[in-house]
Amino acid sequence: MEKQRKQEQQPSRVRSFLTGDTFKALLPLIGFVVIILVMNIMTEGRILQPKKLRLLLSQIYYPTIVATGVFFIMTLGSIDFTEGSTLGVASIVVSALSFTSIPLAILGGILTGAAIGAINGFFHVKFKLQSFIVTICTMYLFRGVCAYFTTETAVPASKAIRAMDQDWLKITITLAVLLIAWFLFRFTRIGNDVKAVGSGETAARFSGVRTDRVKFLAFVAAGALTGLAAFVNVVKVGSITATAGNQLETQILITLVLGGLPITGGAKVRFSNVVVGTLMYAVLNSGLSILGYEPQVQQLIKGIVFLVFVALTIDRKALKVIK
Amino acid sequence: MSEYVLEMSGVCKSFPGVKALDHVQLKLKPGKVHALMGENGAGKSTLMKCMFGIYKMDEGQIKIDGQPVTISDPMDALHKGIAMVHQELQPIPARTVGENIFLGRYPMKKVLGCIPVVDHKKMYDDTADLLKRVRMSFDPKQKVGELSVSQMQSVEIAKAVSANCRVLILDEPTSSLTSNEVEALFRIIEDLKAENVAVVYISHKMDEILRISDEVTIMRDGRYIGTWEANELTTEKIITQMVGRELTNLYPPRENVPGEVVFEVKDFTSINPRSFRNVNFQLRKGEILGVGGLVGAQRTELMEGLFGIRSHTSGQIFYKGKEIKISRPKDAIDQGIAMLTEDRRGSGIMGVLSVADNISISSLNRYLDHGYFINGKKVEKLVQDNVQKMNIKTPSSKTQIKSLSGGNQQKVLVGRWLANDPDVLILDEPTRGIDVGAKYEIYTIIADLAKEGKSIIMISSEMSELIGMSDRIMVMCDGRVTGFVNGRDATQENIMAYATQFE
Repeated sequence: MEKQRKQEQQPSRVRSFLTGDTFKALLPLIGFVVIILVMNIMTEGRILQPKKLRLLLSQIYYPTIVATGVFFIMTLGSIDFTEGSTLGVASIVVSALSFTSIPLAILGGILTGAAIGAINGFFHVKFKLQSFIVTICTMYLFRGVCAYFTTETAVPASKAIRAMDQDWLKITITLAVLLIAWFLFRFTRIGNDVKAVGSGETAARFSGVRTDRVKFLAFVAAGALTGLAAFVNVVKVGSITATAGNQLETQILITLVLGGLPITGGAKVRFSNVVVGTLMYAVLNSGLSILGYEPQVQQLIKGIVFLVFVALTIDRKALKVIK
Repeated sequence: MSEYVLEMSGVCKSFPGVKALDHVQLKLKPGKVHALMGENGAGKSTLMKCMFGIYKMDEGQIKIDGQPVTISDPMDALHKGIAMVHQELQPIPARTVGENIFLGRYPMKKVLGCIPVVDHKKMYDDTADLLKRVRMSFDPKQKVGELSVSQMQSVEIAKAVSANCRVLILDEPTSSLTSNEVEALFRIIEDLKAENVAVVYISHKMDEILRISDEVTIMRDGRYIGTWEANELTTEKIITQMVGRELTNLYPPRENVPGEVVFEVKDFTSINPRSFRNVNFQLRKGEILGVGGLVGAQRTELMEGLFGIRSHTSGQIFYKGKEIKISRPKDAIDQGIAMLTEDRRGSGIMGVLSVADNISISSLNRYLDHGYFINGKKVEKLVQDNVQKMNIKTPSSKTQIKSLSGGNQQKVLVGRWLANDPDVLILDEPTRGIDVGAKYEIYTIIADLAKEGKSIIMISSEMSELIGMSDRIMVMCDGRVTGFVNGRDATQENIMAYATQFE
């Protein structure tokens, strides 16, 4: 009898651990260690060589900047699928303006991103459409804009802007974005309002938070950050083709989910999700390249990892409330 | 043959950190209504979930007709003749009454001797019979979404009856019913009694318990206190047993003295023609104005209109002699008006955020350095002040608010509004879903606030609370203010007379 009861409880205990909060909180760290170990063993230590490490880091600058903006949107409980096409359109603007003046190009990129964010935010807030729906529509739309300008030939950037492709600059920009965002999220009214909306929009509104404005501004800010990321992207690649930023939105989602952020978002997120996530994605990505997998196979493996992490980190109670 | 249709004895159930049930017993006689009472958190629902197979007991025994049984899941419970109507009904609104009742166990027939299909005719005929048994006359093919709450509940009961149950659990069945609908429910319960069904009736409403039940079992803090014949009990006796101490006064003495008018509403009308209209009232400094009425009287809607949550077409609000415009909650808050909403979980607390975050959200601008940076020390001081003043029980200021009890959550929310030092507080059902002990504490807080000169508008659906706490009572019916009653002269009868003045 006693034995039988134990056997009955065993699977449920494993299950409750796998869906429990402690495990979810530890998952990113466990995953990080596992991915580094596995990749290190599989590549026989090649992934941690200084040269490879530099290559590894060079892949994560602009995705980190974009992920930081999306992090705020997901804290609201919303989601954004426009990063890729925003990056594409903003990169075209940056490249075109780079012949006139570099500061103007940076500003142009940020404003383009902010404008697309404003369109998303406007439809989300004013028409009370789910961000999921709005940003899928606008993703499609701006992908079209991007294609329109790049069908004939790629859009080249000026030599001056390509000469800026230096690690210190990209590291500085990325770190600055992370630090400022962390500070805003953790210590200011802005962060508090975003978390309040993510935790209970009605309660936040009844408590005097201007929820519509918070949501709108979060989309504008995320767009602006993607615009800034476009500058970093142009500096690196030098000319913009129709595929610029292709599937970036999925990459960002994988990144954040790898970092332990539940796909449903909400106020349970932690800022460390962004940092851990980008590092994990970079290790996974370069590990797979070093191992010599074809891009198709890489995508397949990443897809499986994504699915597993979504299933493990998802907040089942929040399933009905993706905004 | 046993005297009891179902016996539970020595039931223990622990959750991480709490012993929810500690050697509890419950014995049900056929054809009797057995009320199960206790404060929130006393373990009533946990016990019922053990009986219905939703939870597994750690220890204890269930006997049916004197024979020990194990109940592994709700399906098993249904097969053994136990049915439960949950507090929160979960019908499928887009499907018909018949489909809802026979969900998952449709009567089948075979076409051409081999293809199984649903036998719709039998299903709807059976549904019609069942509805007759629960004294309902609507069409079995009607969509459930078109029914009223009480009709939906009847459907749920019909569903329970259709399983030929011998034990029926009703968890707070009257919480959203009008008094006529309660009468209808009681008639159904009488019918079931006559059919020898044992009914477990969970409710907080004393008058109902004393009227409908034959036996009463009282629980406190997960322990079994005792079982009595209902006719031996009085409201006072039940409360004493539930709380575990004598409650001499249900309401604190009040020393507030209403002063000059601070808040006045003139001809306030909603954009929704079926909601509040032509509302006029005045509120004095240090006054507690109760707002009474039936469900659907638009009391909450009116208050939400005044607080800028709902829109109005016409009307004026005067505050301290000046007209003010309110188009969103922030405007009202900036003027010094606060509103504690009725739905604590939906529009009050921000569940996953900490006690500190929840208490500071409305007054955050007061704790900012240089206009931007939140000063953690100031917020912590706010939390500690409130914890002391209102006796809030929380492990720390970083604790997620959803892990506190209802009463403590409510105190945090009161603290949220007091942090803004408002002069007018709108309290919408401030003690709903809060246990008797914490209720008294909330009443004391309200009385103290009025004494300090704050003006209070309190919506309440509990008559005794309304009469016990208010200086004046404004009664609404169907969107209109139908009358005012002085707190001293108020009786259930004169309030109800105004509350039922339909046009």
